[in-house]
Amino acid sequence: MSLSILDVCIGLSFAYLLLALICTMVNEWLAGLFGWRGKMLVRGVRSLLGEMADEVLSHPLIRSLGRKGAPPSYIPSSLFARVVMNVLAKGQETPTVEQVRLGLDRLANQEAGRALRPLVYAAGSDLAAAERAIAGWFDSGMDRVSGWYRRKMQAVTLLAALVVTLVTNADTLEMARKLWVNPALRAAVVEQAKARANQPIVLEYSEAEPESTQPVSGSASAQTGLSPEQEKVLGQLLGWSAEWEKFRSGAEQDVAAFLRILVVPHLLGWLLTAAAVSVGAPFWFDVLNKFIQVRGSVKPAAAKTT
Amino acid sequence: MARKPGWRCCGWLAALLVAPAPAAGQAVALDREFVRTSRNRAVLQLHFTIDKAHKNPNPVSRNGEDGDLHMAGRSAEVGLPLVVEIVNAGKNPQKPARDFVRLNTGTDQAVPLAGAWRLWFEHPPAGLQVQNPNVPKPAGTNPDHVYEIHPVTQIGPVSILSSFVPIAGFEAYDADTAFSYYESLDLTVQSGPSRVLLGAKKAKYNYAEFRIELTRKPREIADGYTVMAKVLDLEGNPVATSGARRMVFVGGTAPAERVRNLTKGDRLHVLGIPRINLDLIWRFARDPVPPTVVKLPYEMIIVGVFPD
Repeated sequence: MSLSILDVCIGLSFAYLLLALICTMVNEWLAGLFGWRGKMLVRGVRSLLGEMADEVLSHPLIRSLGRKGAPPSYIPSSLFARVVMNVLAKGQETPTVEQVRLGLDRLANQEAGRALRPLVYAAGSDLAAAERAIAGWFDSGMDRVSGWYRRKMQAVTLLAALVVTLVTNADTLEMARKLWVNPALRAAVVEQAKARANQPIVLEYSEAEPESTQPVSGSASAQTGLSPEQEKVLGQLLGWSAEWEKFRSGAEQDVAAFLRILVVPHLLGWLLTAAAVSVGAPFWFDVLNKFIQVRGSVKPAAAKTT
Repeated sequence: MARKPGWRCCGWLAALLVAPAPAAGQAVALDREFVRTSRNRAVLQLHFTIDKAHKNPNPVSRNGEDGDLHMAGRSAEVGLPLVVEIVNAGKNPQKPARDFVRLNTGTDQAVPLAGAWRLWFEHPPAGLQVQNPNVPKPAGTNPDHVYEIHPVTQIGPVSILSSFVPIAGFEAYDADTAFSYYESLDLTVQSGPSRVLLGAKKAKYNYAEFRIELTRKPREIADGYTVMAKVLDLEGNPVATSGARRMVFVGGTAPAERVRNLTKGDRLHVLGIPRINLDLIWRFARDPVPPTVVKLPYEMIIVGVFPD
């Protein structure tokens, strides 16, 4: 019986993991569709450089990092520093200290000028040191941008978790009940969970184009895909069909019956699921791994006593 | 005697709390640019302040003593606790290098140094090491570190390219033992706008002796060659690796000279040491990724080619 409790926990963790992976896919799709990474980067650069940001972002070296005119999602700090120097020196390929300082003087009343002056002047006549200082300043700024992006994505994830939970009718209490009363389903879920836990991503070169510039197989998007077996297991744990059938076959089919049958009994379970799923796939992957480890270590003892 | 289920649940909960998380606390945060610029380089050129060094190289024996000379120190280019190792350090050709190390240890003067960079969790820190310019002086020759220059190719004016030969009298790990271990390792990868964070458990098996069979002709890089190759044991049987592995040959060394004109299907009997493949890491983590567990992506630095 005690092993059953652990298996129910494994089943729930596994379901949360799969639902969180679906949320990740939704998030990635939305982030790509609306160019959130690029927009956040632009916002970060603007917060650093103020009015000078447009000149830097429209520089050919930066523009070429983006796809089809979209802002890039990442700018190497050394490139950013080089472009800033280039812009300050009015496009000179090998700027001199005087040209850079002249550029700073022109920006004396702007945010960029106030931020860059101490960095450049502290480096004295060493332009390479000034570039390094600007690159370091950009890196710290980007750490802040990373925080903004993370917070934004947390909010999006919570929203996505709520939508995914409702669409799939992922009621934690109902899932736990199904796993508890159905040993066959429990065993199938545990098997799938074990397979998933033992399957870290393999980063490797493609056979056709080894060492090309393409991303490796086993990218984050590949990781988020669900196998047919996993979809089948999810289908047994979640879904609307039973409730919908109950509603359709009932004597009353009004709003009160809809709420009584399809909504109210699930409210608490949905909230639990949405809260759990919004924590994210990496968390549930770790938890699942730990449950599987614990199950491996207690199985013989449990077997003797059951 | 059957225990009560409640007590068993408490036991599970306790086990759950103490079960090791992937990369629990043993991690390094690298600058993105460092990863990007290192990923297809065999060698790193740097300035190294030798704070501590062994007076003499390790002896060579069949039970794990490899003949390396260890140094620990600091480098602005690396920005991490750093260990540097000269291979075959006790041999006569390395005497000028040994003398140079002796003269420059503890002087607080940075000397030019070059060698194969090596990221490996052999002596990981208890916590997180973050690349930064202010690395403290090491207390000994082997501080907690994940980054090494190993083997060295040049120290000061002294070239040590000739040290890239098999270590006579040393018994490296056999291919099955070493590669089945490397294949079992996981790595947690996370990347943000400015840093790439890598976490793993302690890793071992420095030197492995094996054969390689090229699956493509060598690719010339700025400072050597990289080769995609199947890993074989000394009898020529394939070793269970997930596909072909990348082998790194340092330019100007005897192994690089041997491999440069080989082609698909050719074989070599080699001595190699593993390092994390930053090229695969870069491709995976070029865009920000959340903490993700992956099979450890590794490649082998070829230190020597056996004559057969």
